[in-house]
Amino acid sequence: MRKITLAILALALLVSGPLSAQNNPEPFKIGYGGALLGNLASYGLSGFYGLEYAVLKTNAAGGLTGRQIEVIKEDDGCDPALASTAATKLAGGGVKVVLGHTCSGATNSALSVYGSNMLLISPSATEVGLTESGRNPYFFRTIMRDDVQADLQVEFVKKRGFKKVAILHDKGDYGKALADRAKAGFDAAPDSGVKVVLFEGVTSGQPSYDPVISKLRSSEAEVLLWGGYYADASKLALQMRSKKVNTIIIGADGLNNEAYVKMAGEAAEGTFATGPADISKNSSPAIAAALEDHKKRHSEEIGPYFFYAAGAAEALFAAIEKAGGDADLEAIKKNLQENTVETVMGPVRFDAKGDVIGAKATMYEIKNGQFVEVEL
Amino acid sequence: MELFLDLLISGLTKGSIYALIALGYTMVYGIVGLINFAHGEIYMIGAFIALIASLALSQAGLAGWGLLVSVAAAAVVYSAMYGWTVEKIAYKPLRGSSRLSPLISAIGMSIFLQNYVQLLQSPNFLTFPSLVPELGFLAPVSHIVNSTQLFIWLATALIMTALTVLIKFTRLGLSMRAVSQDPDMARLSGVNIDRVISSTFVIGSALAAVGGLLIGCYMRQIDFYIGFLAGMKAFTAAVLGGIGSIPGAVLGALVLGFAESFAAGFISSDYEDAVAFVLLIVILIARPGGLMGAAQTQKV
Repeated sequence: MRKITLAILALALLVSGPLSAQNNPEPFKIGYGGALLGNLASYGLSGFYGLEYAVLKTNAAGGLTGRQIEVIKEDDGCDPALASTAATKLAGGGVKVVLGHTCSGATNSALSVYGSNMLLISPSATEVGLTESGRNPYFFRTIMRDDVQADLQVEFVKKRGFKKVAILHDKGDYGKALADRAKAGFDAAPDSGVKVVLFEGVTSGQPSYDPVISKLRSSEAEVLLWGGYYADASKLALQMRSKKVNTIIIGADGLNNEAYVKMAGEAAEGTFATGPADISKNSSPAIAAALEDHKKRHSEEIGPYFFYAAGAAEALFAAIEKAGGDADLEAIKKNLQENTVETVMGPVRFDAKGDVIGAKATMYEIKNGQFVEVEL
Repeated sequence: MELFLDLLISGLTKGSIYALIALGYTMVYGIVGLINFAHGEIYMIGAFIALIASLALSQAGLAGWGLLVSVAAAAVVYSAMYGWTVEKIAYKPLRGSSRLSPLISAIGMSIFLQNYVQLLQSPNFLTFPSLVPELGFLAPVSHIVNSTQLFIWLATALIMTALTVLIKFTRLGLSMRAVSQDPDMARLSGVNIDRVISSTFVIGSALAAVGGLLIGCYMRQIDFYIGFLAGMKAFTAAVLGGIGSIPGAVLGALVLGFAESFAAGFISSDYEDAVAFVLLIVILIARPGGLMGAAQTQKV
């Protein structure tokens, strides 16, 4: 008897699937590409939760062009090779607009798949060339660019009166661009008295950074600007401190992560890092509501890109709504550049290159294991 | 001058790190004639076991030298078991087939073990405790040499000597040499080939575990991927020194370590890998068998 009931129920479910789909219009597909697995997953998930928040809000208010939004997510692990696979999958899944990707290198390789057929907004890819090169007609970002971070680092070093600076990078897209920009910043102002005494790239994932640390010691640099991610930075910090090299480390948003403190422990104290301005600190009812909502649904921290992703999604949805769908990318682009949208991250409008207008970076210092905002 | 001394010590440490792993490569190659690409992964597993054991044992109240020794014992025993199993699963069934089959099987094993640890343990970097106690007499020079570094040097020298003695002067060593020269003849004269080859893998894996423990203490963080880069460099070192030769592996590793260190110090760390590999090519052109290897003609 029970088996028969089950069979009937199963049949009913089978039948009801297509029936209900006939009643509702097709869902509106939005793609998300980013690091959802691997050691940079905390960054990718932060952006994903931001998108999720905006989608839930929009769906509750009736959806996009009258259709419910469905998010299709693909993991790229911040690896350019995986990113192009993820992008190909999204393109094949009938998605026209994508939020992501998390890392600059991965974003660059995904963009070569999207070309001029799909539109991408990133909450976290900061490499300058992505917009500056003019190669990507449908790429936008709500985060500041690396040159804003590098300029802030240069400003900081000058203001605090350091004279000798070492710059190291991990030879990657993101790290090297930051390092180059900072070096150019110091070279452009020779009368400030700041000298770059060491400028080198190191191989990521090495067992030992000893040789370059020896060089750092003999260069007598007071501060070290690190262009790269937190995993190498924490190893560098540990090995520097164990060799009694007390050069102050200054990183960018790739270092600005709880994991850096966790891995470097004591050695992390006193490290500086620039990062996108922490929007969750702004007091507004919209932000408080988003924080409250996130706490209810997830156990993880919101992470650094939540509001940048939520803001990007809201601006994107408004532009799509106005264009009447995602068929005409040129119309969406025009809306993104011409209209200012009030979002949870503040007013969002993009310039001709695709960068958000008014993006800022902030300097943080690690004090007692916490990233604390500091004045220059 | 101080930079030179600093780089010399960095090079020595880097070289010793490579040597700890290269010894296992070269021993297996010398006796079985197989490039065991899974060796780097055994080293990584050794580091993970050391981390787990150190967390468990320090909970149980152990500290200092007692903790270090018991963690080392746990890592050695467990990794040796892994080495034994890998040989039984991936290499033994292919013994006697073409030389390429076990090579492919080794690469497969390496990928399998990496993914296995990633799924079972963690895809993230994990903090590794500094298990080697600080030595008082090193305090005045602690800015250039710390006790972990000293320990890595000593372990490398000790293991190299012990292995040489084992192979030259013991009964097991005699059987190993016999198997290496002519497996069929060795079998006819009553050598249990299976047991000799298993022992080779067990010893090689135990060494990798010691390497994993000490290098973990030095790097202070590990992840599932550390075996790949370290294994590549160690393999290079073993080839440089003459694969199959025990002192050759250490010499090759030290040459590689010094080359990288001085290239980073006096040229630029942008070029350290390039310099190391140019050196490898130059040495192999001049001495195709490696620094201490006999020239052989029937290689893969």
